[in-house]
Amino acid sequence: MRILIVEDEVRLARNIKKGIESIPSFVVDVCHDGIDGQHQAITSSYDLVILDLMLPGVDGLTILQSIRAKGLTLPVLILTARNTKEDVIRGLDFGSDDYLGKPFDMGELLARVKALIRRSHNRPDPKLRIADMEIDTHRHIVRRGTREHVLPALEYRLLEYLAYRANEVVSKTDLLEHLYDYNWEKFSNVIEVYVSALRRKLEMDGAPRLIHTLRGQGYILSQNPPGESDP
Amino acid sequence: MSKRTSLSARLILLFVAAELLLIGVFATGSFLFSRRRLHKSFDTALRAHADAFSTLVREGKDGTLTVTLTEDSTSRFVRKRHRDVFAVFAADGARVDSELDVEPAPEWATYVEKRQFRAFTIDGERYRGILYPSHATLEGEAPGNKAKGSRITIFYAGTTHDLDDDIEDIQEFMLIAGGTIILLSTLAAFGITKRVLKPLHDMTNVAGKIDAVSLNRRFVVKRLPSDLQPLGKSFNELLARLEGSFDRERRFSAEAAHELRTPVAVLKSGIQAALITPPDQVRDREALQELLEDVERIATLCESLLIVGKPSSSRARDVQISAQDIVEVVMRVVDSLSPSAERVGGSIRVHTELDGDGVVLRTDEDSASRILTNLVENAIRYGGDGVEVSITLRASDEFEAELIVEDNGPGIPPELEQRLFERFARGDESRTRATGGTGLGLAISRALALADGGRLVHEKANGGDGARFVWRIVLLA
Repeated sequence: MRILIVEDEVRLARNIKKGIESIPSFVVDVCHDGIDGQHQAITSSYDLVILDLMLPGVDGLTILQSIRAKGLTLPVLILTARNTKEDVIRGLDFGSDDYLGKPFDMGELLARVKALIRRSHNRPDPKLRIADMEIDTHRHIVRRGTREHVLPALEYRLLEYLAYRANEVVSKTDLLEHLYDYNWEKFSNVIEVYVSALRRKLEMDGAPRLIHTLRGQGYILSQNPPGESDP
Repeated sequence: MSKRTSLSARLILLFVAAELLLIGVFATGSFLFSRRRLHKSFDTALRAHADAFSTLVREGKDGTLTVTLTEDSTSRFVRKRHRDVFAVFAADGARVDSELDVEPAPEWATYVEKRQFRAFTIDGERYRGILYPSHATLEGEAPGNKAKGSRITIFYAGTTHDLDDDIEDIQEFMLIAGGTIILLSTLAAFGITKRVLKPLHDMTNVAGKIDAVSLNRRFVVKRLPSDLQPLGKSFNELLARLEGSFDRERRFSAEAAHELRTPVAVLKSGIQAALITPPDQVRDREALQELLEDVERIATLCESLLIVGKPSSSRARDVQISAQDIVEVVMRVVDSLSPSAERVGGSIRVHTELDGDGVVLRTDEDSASRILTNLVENAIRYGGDGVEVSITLRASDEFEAELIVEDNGPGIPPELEQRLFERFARGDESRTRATGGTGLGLAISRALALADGGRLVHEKANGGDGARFVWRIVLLA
């Protein structure tokens, strides 16, 4: 999952990034002004935006409006020092999904971010289950059958992302866009390396394959191999 | 009347007191007058009776005097008015005949001269009598008539029973009528006072309901009685002033809270982010270093808030600083800020005309340093790359010195000019932390300048677009 933070207070943005990235599910991009933030939010693929309201250049509510005007459905969490009832109501009415006032609690922010992600993928259960595999998105532990795996961050992030979009073909571009921040150089073969590492771990003891490759299209996480799935 | 007695009670008490006095005087007066009239007419009648009675006194052959009551006279004096009493005295003082069974007191004689009436009591019956010297010619004249040519004195008294009854009636009437009038008018006074004071009570009610959230309420002055209109007006003005200062305070605390939230959020998130990640000595030390900076920022902000939050009254203490010392302050500020000016390719120039011994200004080192630092920092912050800041210190006249800080930057945007010295007004609307301003610098500087009796104003720069701030300091010598 890739998250965008638009926050002009450099120190604060960095702290939030640090906090969110302590969870292996997430990578974070940061913008320090409104113009940059607006551009990033509507042109790049993010799974969530954390938005300050008072920003140099373009203010937060305008960014929010342009995100919704573009037809983007990604969750937006407003994080601001303006926390009167009127501000909260206006923020939500403008199309944000959540509102948190400063100073906030990091734990609460992380919990809200995770909840928003779950809701946006219509997966309210913090445990994702596919066949005999269970991903605990709270403890970041993957269990298949009786075996528990603590995966490296990138492998976990890849698996969790595929699981959120289970039974759906996910292109390599999609994966690259949602699993890395924009500082990474994107080589598509990295994905293949992580996929094979995941397969190796998940298919121990001869368990059936869950991550299937669709040549030229991408990957699909499913109990049934593609083609054999129900029409 | 104690100071706490209510206005209506005072009014009623005063009214009743005045009324008691007036009615009392009037009632007593009319009572006394009526009594006098009644007595007078009674006395007139009594005198006539006495006069008529004297004709009944006859002198016998032997010179003895007798009172002969005929049937006619009996009916006139005794039967008809059987309560009348009389006594006839010969010239030698001997009693001739009497229906009076008391001996007239010797002092009665004085009443004869004065022809005054005398009230007395016999067996609980009250009488009013007169000693009447008669000049009547006695009938049945005889030679050697002792009484001939001499005078007899008649004491004649009538009962005042009826008279007293009348007087009592009048007294009773006066008391009842007066009491009723006082009672009714007191009740009326209550009603009237209540009515008259109603607008005042209404005002009290309205005022009593006004609190912090309803300070916008006002009296409709036009609807108040004319003598309460000034009160209503001053009350409205008071409310307006209160509302104004309350609004300012509220805005200030809202702004202060808002300004504090972000640095506190930075601090808190910094600590939590450091705690989330696994321990690492180097990184943790860096985190601590950053947290310290965050705390220092909050401390600076708090200190600034305390300065601008204080009411801008003059300081009680007398402060002064010599010209040499203030020049030293200027140099110190320039030294400490020159590096940041150079970082943006700028410079700071100083020009002082304020030299000579014995020149003393009314401010102190701390204020001077703060004000100057704020002004110069602003010039560097908003002056743009290559900004040239110039500081001039001079005496503008014999009462004031000027410390001018000007730059060649873009100047103050017109939309900011109005609220330049307001708290949290920032040159950069976005409040970007990169520039690091608290938005309190100019507000603090002005507060400090005012506290020492000086002024801090923004003026149009001489022949340029840049900002020009003039701090006018009182010149003590």
